[in-house]
Amino acid sequence: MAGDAGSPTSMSLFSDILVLDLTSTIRGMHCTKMFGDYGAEVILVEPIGGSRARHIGPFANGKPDREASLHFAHHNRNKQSITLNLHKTRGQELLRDLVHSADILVEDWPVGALDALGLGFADLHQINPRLVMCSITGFGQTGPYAGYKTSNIIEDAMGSLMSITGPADKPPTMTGAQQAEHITAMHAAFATVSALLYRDIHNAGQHIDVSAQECVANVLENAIEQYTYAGIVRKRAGSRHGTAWPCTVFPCKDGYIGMCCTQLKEVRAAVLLAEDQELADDPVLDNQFERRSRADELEPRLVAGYMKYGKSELFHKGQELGCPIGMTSDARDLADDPHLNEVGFFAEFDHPVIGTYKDIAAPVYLNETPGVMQSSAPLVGQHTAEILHSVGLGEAELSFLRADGVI
Amino acid sequence: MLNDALAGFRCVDFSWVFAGPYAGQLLGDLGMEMIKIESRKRMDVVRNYPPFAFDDRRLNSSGYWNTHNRSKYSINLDMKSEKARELVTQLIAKSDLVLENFSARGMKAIGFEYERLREINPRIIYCSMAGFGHRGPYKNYVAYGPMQESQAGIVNLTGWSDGQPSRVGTSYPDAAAGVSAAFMIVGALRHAGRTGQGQWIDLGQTLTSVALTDTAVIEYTVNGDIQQRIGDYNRFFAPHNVYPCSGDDQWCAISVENESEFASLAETIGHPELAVDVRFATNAARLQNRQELDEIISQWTAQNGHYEVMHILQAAGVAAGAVLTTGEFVEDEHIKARGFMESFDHPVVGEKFYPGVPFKMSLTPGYIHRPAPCLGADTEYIFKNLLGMSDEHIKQLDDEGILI
Repeated sequence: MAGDAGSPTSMSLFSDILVLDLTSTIRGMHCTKMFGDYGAEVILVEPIGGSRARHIGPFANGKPDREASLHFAHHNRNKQSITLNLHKTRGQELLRDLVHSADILVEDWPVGALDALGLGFADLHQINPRLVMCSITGFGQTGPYAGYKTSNIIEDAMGSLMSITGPADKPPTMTGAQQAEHITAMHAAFATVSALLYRDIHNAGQHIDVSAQECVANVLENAIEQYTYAGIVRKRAGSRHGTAWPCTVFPCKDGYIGMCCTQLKEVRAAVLLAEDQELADDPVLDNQFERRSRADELEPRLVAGYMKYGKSELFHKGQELGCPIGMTSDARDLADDPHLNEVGFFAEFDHPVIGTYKDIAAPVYLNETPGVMQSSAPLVGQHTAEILHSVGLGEAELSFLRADGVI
Repeated sequence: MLNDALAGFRCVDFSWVFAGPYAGQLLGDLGMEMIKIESRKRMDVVRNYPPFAFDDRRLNSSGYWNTHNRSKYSINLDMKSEKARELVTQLIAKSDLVLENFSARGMKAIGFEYERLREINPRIIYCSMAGFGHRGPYKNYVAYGPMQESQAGIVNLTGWSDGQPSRVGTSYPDAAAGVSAAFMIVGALRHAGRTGQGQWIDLGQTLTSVALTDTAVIEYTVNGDIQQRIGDYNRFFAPHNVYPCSGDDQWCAISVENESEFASLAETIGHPELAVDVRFATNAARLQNRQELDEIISQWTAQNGHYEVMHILQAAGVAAGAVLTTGEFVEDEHIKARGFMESFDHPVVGEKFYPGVPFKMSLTPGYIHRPAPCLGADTEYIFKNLLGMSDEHIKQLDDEGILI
């Protein structure tokens, strides 16, 4: 592994932590990934045929193959895989054995499904009172919608983010790249690490109930308060910001740019970037409310200037002028970005089926315990034998378990 | 008294606007003591951002500020003065964390770059949240959430294939950076407890959003594909969309991932034959014919309210979610049953509801510990209790204009 990896001998942030990962959705997998990226040992517990996530595309070279799902590979690097049939008594016993030495268990099963197998928090807490267990669902473990099915679009909708996203003349718009799932995973990771810190000090584990609907609604900036303070129900209104101008997405010669100017000097920089000296000198810019109210009239003048240049050129030139501008990056722009490459944002992974490739590494730099890319995503059950040996099972018993459909 | 997961930890908080304060909100709700440093000369700008509780937009009445700064203390200090910097030095010596989201030049300007913080307190966790971080060629570029979202690749993937890309309807990168920071901070505090080692968390807000582009990068590096936005479709499953319901601008999201869910959907909308129709019987066929299928589904959804569509389909085992407005969300029976919205009484705006903590912890339930502080409300309290300062000393500092 190259990239932003810490030296394997240095202590990593979570080098003392064992995570049992019973997840197969982004809201679960991205949570455990955040621990694995900073050195935790993460054991992914998969059903015999492999995680549901292995059957979801995109696939390497477009060929459906459970070992070549890029969706799975992206969310499960730095994890080990054991297959366990949790619907068999012996499989449940083996999971309980693993729970003895685990610090964290994260699961995204339907509400009550693990309890039905004798693997709910009440059961596991008996085995290991120091266990931090995190359950991540669409709507939480309690309440009238607790049993409701979910997915990213459902969470965007029910968290009310969708009602304020997208152009006014189109249906409510889903977030790109599954943001509801990701933001939920991150809140789950925060709650889990906080419970872990508490456990270190007070020697007591606990159960965390994460609701994706609530996580989405929690990040609406001020939209909920517009309702609770002023009775305003915000409507979707495209990319334009409510108060700042220019703060939106603009077309340019080869794509789009995004900018967000709040101070007058930034507004002037945006106008100068469009090479409109006359507008730069116009006192209409001086008042924040006036310039915002005339957005319809002023924006075409900026666009006329921006259409002459490409997004990358506008980005760098605009930033030099002091304009808070970004280009509307696509995947190639990201992969080739000089800043991201220089700071070690990417790492190279080596996967037996997918091959060698570059992907996003740990995104936040910690100067003493940086992220550690330990391995690419595991093959189905790649570590089953090794892990079960560690809880005292011999070769003969493994053969028996295999024959019996337990592993 | 409730247990707090982060009880006993203290933060000197220079953060402002949204990204840093959101991290502080999460930490404060779990019981960390957050001491926010401002001054009348240079207050957090979102104290003047809408919505306001009163038409005259009076100070301390912003809902934007009050929601993200609950569970914190506020002290006023003129950071330009040497005496104020001495006081901050004393606070940092007694704290576990310093949090800020200035540009990469900000902390140096007030004399508290990492080297200095470490001198004051070797175990300190310092979390900086500059737009592009403190390393690399863009470290001095200015960056705010709404354009970070573009730069990070999320805008390009949001919106309709026949139109412009779209921003998410909130300053999403700020929130993503805030929760990432909170996670790294608690991890680093734990590490400091284990090893005695403090450290610098150098978070770049744009970078934490790039990390949320899902498979965009790996698809490009492995397959050479550049992912495009496709509105409310899913590339791998159909049906997957929002469907018009009977009310004005009312919609319900529906997503189906397998044949049995599709059979339930077909049955529920009164067309069980669709499950065996060659155009729709398999996921591959449904993806191929999704527009046609969406029209059939829409004919049924248009006869019902969005909540009704959701409840009927969920009862049949189909993932469906009404597109709630913010008002509907606040009044939703499930949200009420969960007790997600919490109310508190604020000295200026009175009793209001706020989004609470989006997860429940069985042993250390997070909650809103105190209303957002009015500007400088806790200056005296903090200096007396934390630094053991006398009334006379505080009055003297005030007279000298330090506590402005």
